[in-house]
This record gives sequence, structure tokens and C-alpha cells, in this order.
Amino acid sequence: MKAEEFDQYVRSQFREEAAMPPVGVEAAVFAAVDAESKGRRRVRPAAALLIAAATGAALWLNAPESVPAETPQPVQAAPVQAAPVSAAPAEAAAVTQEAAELPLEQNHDSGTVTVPEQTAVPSGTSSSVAIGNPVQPQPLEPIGSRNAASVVAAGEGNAAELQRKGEETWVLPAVVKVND
Amino acid sequence: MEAADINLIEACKKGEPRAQREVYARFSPMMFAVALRYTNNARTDAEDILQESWIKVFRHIKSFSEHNSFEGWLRRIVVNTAITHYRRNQKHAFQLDVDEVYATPADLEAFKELDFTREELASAIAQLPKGYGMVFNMYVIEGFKHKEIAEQLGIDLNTSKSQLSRARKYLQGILNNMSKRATKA
Repeated sequence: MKAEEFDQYVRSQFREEAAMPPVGVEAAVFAAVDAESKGRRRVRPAAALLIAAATGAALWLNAPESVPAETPQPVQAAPVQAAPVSAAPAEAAAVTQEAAELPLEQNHDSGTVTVPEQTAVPSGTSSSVAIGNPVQPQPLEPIGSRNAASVVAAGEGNAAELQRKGEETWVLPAVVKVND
Repeated sequence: MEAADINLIEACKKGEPRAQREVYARFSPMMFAVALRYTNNARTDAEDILQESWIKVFRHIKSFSEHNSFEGWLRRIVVNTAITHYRRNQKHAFQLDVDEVYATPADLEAFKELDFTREELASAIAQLPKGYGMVFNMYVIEGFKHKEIAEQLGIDLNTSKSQLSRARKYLQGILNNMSKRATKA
């Protein structure tokens, strides 16, 4: 008989092996399993409490630092910005800000157009930069100093000039070079 | 795996005591038999292995996938626990040189026909020296490869092979004696 045959025979004999364990083992197994699950049940709330406490402490410690960060910068800047403009009336600054936010047709009823003064704070610079700027702000242009007609005329003139040169209306600014 | 078995395992995963008891009642006889084989029928050691195995089963049952054989998974846990037990005890055990203790009997050719009961075979395997018994059980009955056996037992690959070969001869000697006694009786 070959070794493989012998192995096969032994293996087949143990295919359905079974032996009844003593009753005491079952009790010992479930006592250990219960103790383990009870331990886990105790650890879970303690761990949750610890995590909650740690999170709370972290939030509390971070809270004073995060409050100023959340405050928008322009709110603090407003009084500082207003201070040097002593010559202009306070309402003029407010109107300028409003005008920047609102579309042009807001003042159509009165026949005047408010154009936001872009030269006071150049685009791309933040309000904090404007605060630190030593250049004295220009006095604000009062509403009504420019009428709508002049603005429209300027736009039309531009279009007319473009049409005259290229016999076309150019919507976007463009530079065209024509080589002979 | 049947739907009822899957439900039972799912209930065990949720930690339901009734399901745990049912699983224990169903598979304990098989697990205890495996444990006995690995302890050379030492019941106290087998009980320890069984208890340790069940604690591992309920602790790690969530990692069991229904695509595998549950019985195979349980069997593997018992075998691994028995190996751990064996290695733990081996540190304190007096190592015998089995080659000098027992002379190898006639080879396999002596057996034209095998006609032994499971109990007789189990008794014969239990008489194998511990190292031989471990390798024989793992290779022949559980189907481990020599590489796995070597890794699990912390022995050389060739040692595993030679121990298996010696275990076979040793076992045949025991079985030969058993059959001679039976003939005389």
C-alpha cells in the first residue's frame, strides 16, 4: 500500500469525527463570553464619554481664537476708513457702498446714474490694504454730478468709432493686426 | 451554506446568547474530537483547547464570511489553538529522541487491506510521539502543506517531511501490533 492510499484511508475515517465534551466546558465558555461582552459594554460608554469630553475641551479651547477670525474684516475697517474722510459727509460713503452693490438702473427714476468710484480702492486690493494705505482718500463724487446721458453717449461714441473704423460693432475689446 | 445556518451565524454576530448556545451545541462534538486528536487523548488539555477555541470563535465571528465553510473555519481555529497549546507546553517538555525510543516496524507493504475502526485509528495516532502526531494530524487529516506546517510549528520544511514519513511508519507499527493481537484473540 502506498503512502497516499494510507493517508486517504485515515482521512476518510476522521471525516465525521465527534466526541461529546464535558458539560462544565459549556458553562466556562459562556461565563467567559458574558464577562467579555459585559466588559465591552462598560468600556463603550466610558470611551464615548471620554471622546465627548475631549471634543468639548477642544472646542472650548479653540472658541476664543475662532471668534475674531469669523468676524468679517470690513466691519472693523469701516470706522477706520471713515475717520480720514472728514471732509465728506458720512452718508456719501454709505451711498457709494450701496452704489457698488446695486445695478445702474437703480437711480433711473431720478435721471441720474451713480458710478462707483473705482479709483479710491483699486480692484484686487482688500479693505485691510486700504486701511494701511497712507494715501489720503479722494473726496467722494456726489450723486448727480454725472448724468446718464453723458455715460450713454460715451458708450455710443465708442461703438460708433469702432463701426467707423472696421464697419463692424465690436462687443469685446480686441486688437487686430493686419499684415500686408 | 443553508439559509438557516446563515441566520444562526448572523444572530451570533449580533451577540444573541440563544444562537451562541445553539452553535455551541451543534459544533462542539466535532471541535472536541479534533482537540483530543491533537492532545493525544489528554482530555484536560483538550477541554482547555475547546474552551479557548470557543472564546476565539465568538470574539471573531464578525470576521467570518458566509462564502466560506463555517465548519472548516471552526476546525481551523481549534487546530491553531492546539498548535499554540502544543508550542506553549513544548517549552517545558522533556524532548525525546523518538528514533531511539521506538524502532520503526514493517513498512506499508505489510498492509494489503486496512480494516480499522476510527477509535482504533485514533488510539494509534494518540500513541505517536507528540511532534510526529502534530505533523501527521496536520498533513494527513487537516490537509496542511509542509510549508504551512513548518511555519506553524516553527520547524524546518525538511523536518516536517521527515517527521511525517516517520510518523507513518510508526503508526503502521502500532496498527500491525493491534491486528496481530486481534488475530491471536
